Amino acid sequence: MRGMRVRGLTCSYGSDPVLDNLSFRVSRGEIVGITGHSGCGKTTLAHCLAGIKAGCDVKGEVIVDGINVLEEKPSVITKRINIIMQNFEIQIFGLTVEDDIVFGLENLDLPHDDIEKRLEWALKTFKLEKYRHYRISELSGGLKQKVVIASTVILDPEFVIMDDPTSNLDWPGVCALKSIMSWLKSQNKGVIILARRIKGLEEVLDRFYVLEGGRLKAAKADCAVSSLKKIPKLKCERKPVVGVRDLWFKYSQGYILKNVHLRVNSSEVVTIMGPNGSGKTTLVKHLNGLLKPTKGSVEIMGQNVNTMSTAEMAKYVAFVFQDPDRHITNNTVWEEAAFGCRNLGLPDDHAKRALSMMGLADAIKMSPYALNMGGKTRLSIASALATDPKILVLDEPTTGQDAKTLEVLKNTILNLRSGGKTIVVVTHDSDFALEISDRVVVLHSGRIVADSVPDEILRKRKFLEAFELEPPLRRGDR
Amino acid sequence: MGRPRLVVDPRVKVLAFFASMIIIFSATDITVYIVFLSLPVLLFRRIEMLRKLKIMLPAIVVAFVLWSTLYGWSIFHKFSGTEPEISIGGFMALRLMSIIMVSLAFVYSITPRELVTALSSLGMPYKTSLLVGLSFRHTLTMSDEYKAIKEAQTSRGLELDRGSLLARIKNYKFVLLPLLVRSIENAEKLALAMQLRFFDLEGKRTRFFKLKMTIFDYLIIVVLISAVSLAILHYVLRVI
Repeated sequence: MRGMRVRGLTCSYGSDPVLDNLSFRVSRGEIVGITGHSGCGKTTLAHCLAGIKAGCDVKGEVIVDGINVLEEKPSVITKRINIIMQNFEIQIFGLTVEDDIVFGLENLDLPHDDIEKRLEWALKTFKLEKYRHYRISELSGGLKQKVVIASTVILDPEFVIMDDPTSNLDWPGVCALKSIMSWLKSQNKGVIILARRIKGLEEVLDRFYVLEGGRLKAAKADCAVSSLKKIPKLKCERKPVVGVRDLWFKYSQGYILKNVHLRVNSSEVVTIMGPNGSGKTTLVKHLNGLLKPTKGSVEIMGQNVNTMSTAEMAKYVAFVFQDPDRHITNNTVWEEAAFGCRNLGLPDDHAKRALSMMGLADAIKMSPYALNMGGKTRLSIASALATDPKILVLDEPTTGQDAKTLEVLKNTILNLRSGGKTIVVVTHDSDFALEISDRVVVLHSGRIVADSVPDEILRKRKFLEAFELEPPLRRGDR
Repeated sequence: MGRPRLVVDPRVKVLAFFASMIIIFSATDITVYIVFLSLPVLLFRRIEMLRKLKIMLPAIVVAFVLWSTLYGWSIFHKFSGTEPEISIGGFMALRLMSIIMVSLAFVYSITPRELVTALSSLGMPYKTSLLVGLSFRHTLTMSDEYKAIKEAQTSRGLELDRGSLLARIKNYKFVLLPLLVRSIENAEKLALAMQLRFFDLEGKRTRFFKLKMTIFDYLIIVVLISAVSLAILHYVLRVI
């Protein structure tokens, strides 16, 4: 059989084995899904399968075409196996979208017309035509992820390993990925997808496993159904804390935000949703003055953001960034968590409490870079919570989190809410939005197109389709 | 930074850069510098380019002071006496500003890809031009990293925009140290990114982006050559 054969794959950091004697086969034309909780070793497995040395002891073999991936040079491996990494940003080479897609094709020494054809195909499939000449750094997280998927798939490897490829994708992006996966299958390629949630991709999976305790267990491809609790009603006075009036914002490529009006009150959780590139992150970056309005005004706690520096606003607003990798700046988990509260002159207790809330109390001496993606996101949240903010802004906090951590996150958000705090969340995860939000605000091409209670938007098919949102797991049964 | 609005062959851009430098260094006329200072702003329709000059203000001030006071001791000096020469200082400051402006305009108008293609088609070996392109790219990546780190730190109450100069300089270590670490990490990441895309220095590659000169480009070259010749004839050889 000309496929991928994994035999006795064992991988350990120090004395703890992360992967314990794994053996499985993946044939060409087969799509295998692997899920598991945060820290179960999905990324380690992905790296092993793609032959990336991750600083751990690896035993066993991964055989493709008679070569052992674990012992080969990268140039031999990449022709056969390529990977879409969880921290996909580091895979980007080109400075513009077009550059990045073309770079690999040029290295393959393909004829000019062939490159042209593949480039056009990739831009069309992932709806990136509009962004063709954009600098990668100007793109939103989801669009970057699309570029990486496009640039990798287009190289035509025999096997594609996808590590959490949907973490930042909007619903149309997930659907595009699904059709790409079936197309790969029809081209007799093998696909291994490792992800926290495989929602939207279940139909194309041939086999499905759960990685637990370093071993694979066959399972059925249904998503873990969350509890779908309804958000409790609060009987308290709500005061306006965020007032965005007629906000327009322009980067070099034209207006990203157009005529945005938004009011958020205390004790309120507002979720901002919308497709990739609709301006979600740009909007929330106005809430702590990281961006200043081109036109219009933003008021936080009654003060105009134009009159304050971001550092001054840190007293009121804490911000959790979308890509924790780029925003972590300290050498230990403790330093990272305490950075904000020390700047604001708050006692260290805040940081301690925040860390234990996020389940990182045992990790304080570790390097933040040694944490897995879910851990890094939790650390960013802890670091924000430690500043005891009145307003907490969370940009894609569900990235890399498992069901258990999401539950903790939900409870934290709801506790803050009943404590009179304001929470603004940006997410693509409709199920998460349904469970935590008082209100959902939908952005589309820089304009607010809907602002209502979650059920009014996320349970209505016409809105989901019109706004390109992810449909929630179960409809209307609560 | 947006993409350039002018469609000019990158080779012409490289030539224009060198031509401008020759003219700037040979000119002794203030009007020439005023042209060089205003032309990029007009061409790119970007007023903020003038604001970028502000970052270089300390260097410009130092140049002004040094040239004004120490010119008399300079081995190049043509004037006698040790009186401060404000006019020389002002002239040199203007020259420095023009150099910065032209360099800025060059960086604004060319992408690393164009630079590599242009340099290698002008005869530079691929390895060398790739190296130039990579370092150029690294600078741009670092400016993005700098922004991200600054965002992370200011969002957590680190004051960089207000307060006394000394306090601000002290606080900048919380931005610059992580940036240094990031810079080293990025080199590793870049190697991985290139490996995953089959990059092989010895291997054959397609050159997808081909350069083609238009009549407009040739026109610019003619203008450039005449401008440089005029400048040399007028200022250096003093024949016209």
